[in-house]
Amino acid sequence: MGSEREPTNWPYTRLAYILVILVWIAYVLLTFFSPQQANPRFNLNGSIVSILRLSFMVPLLAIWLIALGGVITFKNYARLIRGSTEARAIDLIANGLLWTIAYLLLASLLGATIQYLTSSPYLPTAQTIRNHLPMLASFIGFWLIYAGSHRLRRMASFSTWTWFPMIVFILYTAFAAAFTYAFISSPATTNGNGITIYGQPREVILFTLVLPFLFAWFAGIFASINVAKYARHTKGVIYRQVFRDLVRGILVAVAFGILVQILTLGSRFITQLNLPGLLAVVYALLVLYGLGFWFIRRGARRLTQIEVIK
Amino acid sequence: MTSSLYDQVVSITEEYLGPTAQRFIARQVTYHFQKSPHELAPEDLPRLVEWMRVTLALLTDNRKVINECANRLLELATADSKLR
Repeated sequence: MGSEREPTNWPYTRLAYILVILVWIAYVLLTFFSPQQANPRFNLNGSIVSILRLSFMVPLLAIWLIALGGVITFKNYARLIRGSTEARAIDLIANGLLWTIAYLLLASLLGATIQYLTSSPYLPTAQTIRNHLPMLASFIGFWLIYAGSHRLRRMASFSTWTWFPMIVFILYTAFAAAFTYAFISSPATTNGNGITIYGQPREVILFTLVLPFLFAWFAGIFASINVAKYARHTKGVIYRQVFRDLVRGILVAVAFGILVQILTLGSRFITQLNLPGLLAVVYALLVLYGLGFWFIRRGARRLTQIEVIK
Repeated sequence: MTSSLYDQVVSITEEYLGPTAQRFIARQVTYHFQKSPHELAPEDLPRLVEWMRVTLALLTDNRKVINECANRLLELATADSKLR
């Protein structure tokens, strides 16, 4: 008997939106009432830093909500096709994208919170949590996206390792080596006990933070390659057209998500970038990241249309 | 055999709708003909094709592809009637 499929909403939709809004409110309040803080590195006083951050608050909420809306539409599509061969792959990718959004929320919230602990004995612990929790979200996210893309690869029976991915692999390996070297050789600011501003010795940070991020970005890049190849190799000329928006969205969201993380990690641990310029670049990348999720939403809606149209 | 006809219809449609083809055809048959997809008969094909033209037009504006799909499905009805 044919199946009648009606759209079903992800049961945590409302909770997710509430959570994002609450995190945003907390972020705004924590930033507005920050006890800080001049930023001696960039020669800015505390109020200017707060004003700069506050000016991005409303667009930031818009980006978070657009991203969440895109993923939820994608999750709903995965629920709609539950039981089909591609459902699990789609759901894994959607869950991975959710975790990349969690990275943004955690990075923002924890970054705003730590300013209240600069004189606290718990600062090293707080710095450790601030550094590692967002990394964990990113790691889980990109590896889930990769796991989903790997299932799609098996479905469409193609090989990831053709000439272009090999070139990407070589370039990425070179980048990872350069990034690692730059981290190792960058000047570290320590307190009197030899603990870096990162809350832990540099060697520990290398293995618990930098390398996991590099592995996460690797997973994200090759997940994007698999998804793009699936869109070319899968059957169905109309399906491929409809799937294209989704692919575009996933590629953009993953690419700019990775760039935001590289910039954030690099600026905190490696370079001495100018703060206003850095913030402008990060937020421009976030806008493009949000655009990716807009494409994801559009693609998921069109795929949903195939499933419900009578 | 009608199950064979359904499988043939799905097989052709897969070249246009990929992994969604089976679900799509099953839904079209169930909704428009009030019968199980495997009960699809050759005489149902012209109506099915007309419905598919309408629904595919909502998914793509590539008329050439829609017509190609429709013609290939209609050929199944012709081929089946020749066999009889």
